[in-house]
Amino acid sequence: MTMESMLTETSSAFGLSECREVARRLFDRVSAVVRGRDDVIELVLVALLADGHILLEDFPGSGKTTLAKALGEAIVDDRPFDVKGDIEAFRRIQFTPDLLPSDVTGTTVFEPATGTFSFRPGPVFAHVVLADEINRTSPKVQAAMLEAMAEKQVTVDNQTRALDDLFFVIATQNPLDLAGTYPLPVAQLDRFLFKIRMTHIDRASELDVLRTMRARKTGAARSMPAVSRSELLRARSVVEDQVRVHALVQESLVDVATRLREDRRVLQGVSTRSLVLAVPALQIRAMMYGRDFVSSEDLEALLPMVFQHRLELSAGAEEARPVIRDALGPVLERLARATV
Amino acid sequence: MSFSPSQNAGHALHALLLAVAAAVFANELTLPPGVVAAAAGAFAGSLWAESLHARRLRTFASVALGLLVGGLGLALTQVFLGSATLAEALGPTVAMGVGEVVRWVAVALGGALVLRAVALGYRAALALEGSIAVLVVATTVQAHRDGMIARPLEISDWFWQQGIDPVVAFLGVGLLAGLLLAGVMARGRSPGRTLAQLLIVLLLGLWLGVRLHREPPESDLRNAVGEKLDKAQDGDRDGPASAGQGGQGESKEGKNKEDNDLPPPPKQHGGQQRPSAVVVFHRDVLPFGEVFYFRHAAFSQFNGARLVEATRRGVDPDARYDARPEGFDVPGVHNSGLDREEVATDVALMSEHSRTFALIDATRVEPRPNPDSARFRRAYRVVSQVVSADVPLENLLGLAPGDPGWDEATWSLYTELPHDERYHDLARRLQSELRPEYKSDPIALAFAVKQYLEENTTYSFKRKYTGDDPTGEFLFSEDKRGYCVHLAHAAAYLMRALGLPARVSAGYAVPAANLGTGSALLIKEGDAHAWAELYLEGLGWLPIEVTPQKTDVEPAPFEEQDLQQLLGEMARKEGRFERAPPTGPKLMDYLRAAWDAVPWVLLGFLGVLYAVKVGRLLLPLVLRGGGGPKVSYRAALDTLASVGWVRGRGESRERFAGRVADRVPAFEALTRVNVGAALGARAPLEAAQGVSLAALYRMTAGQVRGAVPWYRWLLGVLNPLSWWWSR
Repeated sequence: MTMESMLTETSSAFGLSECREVARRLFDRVSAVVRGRDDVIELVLVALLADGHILLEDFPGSGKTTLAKALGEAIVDDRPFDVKGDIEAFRRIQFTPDLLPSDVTGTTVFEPATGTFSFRPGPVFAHVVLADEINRTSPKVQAAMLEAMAEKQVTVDNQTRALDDLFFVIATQNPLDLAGTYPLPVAQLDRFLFKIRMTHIDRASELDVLRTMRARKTGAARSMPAVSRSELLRARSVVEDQVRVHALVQESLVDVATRLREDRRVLQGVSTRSLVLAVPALQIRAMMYGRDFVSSEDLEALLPMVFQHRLELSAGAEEARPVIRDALGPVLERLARATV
Repeated sequence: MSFSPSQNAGHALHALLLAVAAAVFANELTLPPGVVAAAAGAFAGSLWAESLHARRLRTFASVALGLLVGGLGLALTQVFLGSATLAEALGPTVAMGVGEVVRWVAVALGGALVLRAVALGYRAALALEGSIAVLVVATTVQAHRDGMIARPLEISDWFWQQGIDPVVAFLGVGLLAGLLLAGVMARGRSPGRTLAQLLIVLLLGLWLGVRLHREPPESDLRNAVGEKLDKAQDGDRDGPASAGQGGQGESKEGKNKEDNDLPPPPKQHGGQQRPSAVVVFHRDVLPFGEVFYFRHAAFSQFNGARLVEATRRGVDPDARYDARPEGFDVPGVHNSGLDREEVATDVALMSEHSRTFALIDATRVEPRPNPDSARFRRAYRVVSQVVSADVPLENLLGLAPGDPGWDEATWSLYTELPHDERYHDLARRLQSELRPEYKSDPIALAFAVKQYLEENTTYSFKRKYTGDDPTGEFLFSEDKRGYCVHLAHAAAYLMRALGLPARVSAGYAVPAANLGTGSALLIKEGDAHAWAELYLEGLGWLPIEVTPQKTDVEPAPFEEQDLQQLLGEMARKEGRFERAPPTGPKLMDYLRAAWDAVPWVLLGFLGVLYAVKVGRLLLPLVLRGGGGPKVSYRAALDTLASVGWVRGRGESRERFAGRVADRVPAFEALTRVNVGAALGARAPLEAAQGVSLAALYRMTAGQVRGAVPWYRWLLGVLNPLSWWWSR
């Protein structure tokens, strides 16, 4: 598949089935590299297409980097070289306590040859950024990173520079090793669309990882069809346009939020922004499952991921999952009844 | 571990159920403190078992603990009841009370603990627990069966005072218990399902109740003895037992097979104790022989095998009492100079009697209004000239046999007997043993016969005599085993062999002692009797009772004093049972009307349920395009629900469809169409991939049919509530 054919394809009638095909291609490429994580890959793709970011809670060595890298490599920037500048497909930032904001955003350096200052873009100037152990760095650096995520721009020396439209962050944190960390406050967690807790993969998948080790090392996945940047952006707008969110579904969203806020175990409920962010994610998921409408199964699958890191729980309540499940159950029941 | 409130409520309900069962069980066996102790013990034991289970104690450990507690308690009881020092210190009453309390607390606590622990450990044992609870209550009120409305008296009395028939009340209690049990069993399921189950129990219970209440089992109330003969006699249902012979005089056909046999003995079963009638005496009287005889037929004509009712007109006019509306004067009873007392008796029949019976020496029979139509079938009044027990036996000596007015034919009728010399030989032998002055005295001869039979026969139902002369077979057999019919015939034949006019009467015989200090006499079916009678000039027919000294029948003691009194008061239409004058409808009338309406209301309700069910199932097949996604989908949902596949609470439609997809694939497509249509898909029908909705629904129904066993499917089809469950 040539670059030209891809371009013509995107410019011709681009419907939901084409969107789905794009998502399929992405999924196939990533899952060829990352085994046994299909559920996580699906959520990552939803977030990518819904223009959100992801926080992964995971143990070291569970394939986060592999996943992020495979995702970055699956996206081809199809713009002319002069336009795309030095945007990388994939960058990784290992957060440490001594990291500085400029290490993330980039910095202006003096060039003695020309006698001018020029900007060295930081690792955030990429399509897919892996922010590893984001809770290990100082709040200052976290703030710079989170500003970049929220605004899709960085400010260096009072100069604001836009990041790429496709800018997608996969941040990780280790759920257990908390010594010397700066946990992200709830307000900052709100910037992430999903928080995904990954568990160890099952036996068959783990065996599969060992069996396909060599094939993956030689980059077999790279021969699979990639996805162009413009296709992704096009898919975003098409899905936003064409996947319907019924009034009943909107009501359900608001109802879940209301129930969560009224729950006695919750100190601070979910924000309105989280609902706004959830809608595109729901649409993307519906599209990926071949529907042109958001259904209750989308709510069931995504809302726990959307809400679980946004709740501040009162003392005694430890897990957000059961709280969300309790809030979601009656709403889904009502939605199910409304459809007959 | 903590419980949710609903779980706690369930535990408390369980404990309460066991407590009630324990109290009911203990009620018959101990003092009031013991009953309270049993209830408390069962309650505590039940809750204890729950708590042990919650603490993850293993079932066998809980059972062992329960047994230990019970054993220790019983041992402690022995200390209280067995120790003389304690009894002295506390006083015997207190010591006994404390002992009972300890015993029942321990037994109930241990028992409840074991029961609950087993039920919690193994789900199936829940049924055991329920059965024991039901059994305990059923045992207590089991005396109530067979129409013994008075047991247990303390319960039924209260109901009577409220003007409510205890039968209805007991049915209600049973229904309530069933509902409660169903509620406990269904605990933890969805409320809708629980409600449905309760409704089904209610429907069944009410239906049974209505059936039982509306149609008293006719055949049960019928005489136990007559059953066999009744079959042959084509529905001539005679009341009293020995009436076995009663119908034979009239109905000539259909009895050939048993022609040469005496009536069969009464069957030995519970029916013996069933109340048959109650007789209220208007004044105190002690009859001659201290037995009340109620006659309904007399057999005096020898038909070659035994005595049957005389076919000649004018014979035995005193033995038939026609129940004419205007009353009926019974002829043939002498009001001689003997010491007779006129006694009026009010008879209220509790089971159907095709013939009227009356206290012997009746002179008038007249119908009476039924004092309580719910309880009695018919009522009438009899006036009798009773030969009192005050009459000394000597007064009867010297009375001549027979009546001077009798003609030759009558005499021969009353003295005919089988052509068998052994009767005459035996009679002569008995006559010869008398003192010379009594050798020709009728009453002395009759008593000689009576004495001979009493000393030489054995009362028994075990022997059957089937020859040409059953009486002879009985009388001249080695061990002479027989029952009242044989004895009465033997006595009558022997008296006839001595030239005395004798006959056999049938009806009821009740010891006068049963009357006690009261004035009402209960007649049970077991009181049916046959006896011999001797005619004395100026006196009329006198019963000659033969009661063998040897018997192999366990005599049933009379225990129904309370019932007798109760029925008597009802029959007398007096006291607390008197109904207020009929001015306008009363609460009981409304209740009865409501009760009568219940089956129809339920039937209508059931009809509506079925109509809704069938309508919802048929609509997609009737409407064009399957009536749209909603109608088809709903019908498919109903079909699934009828075999028990229901979407879980909070489960999405798609997930549910996925859950049953391997068995009902068509339903998944239908679900996609429905959800799409409801949530704004542009072309929801595309999900059906060209198959029409009605066809998808039919496929769903077919796949459901194929996926479950036939009986499950049939149950689903019959269940009127399946659509209610579909969600």
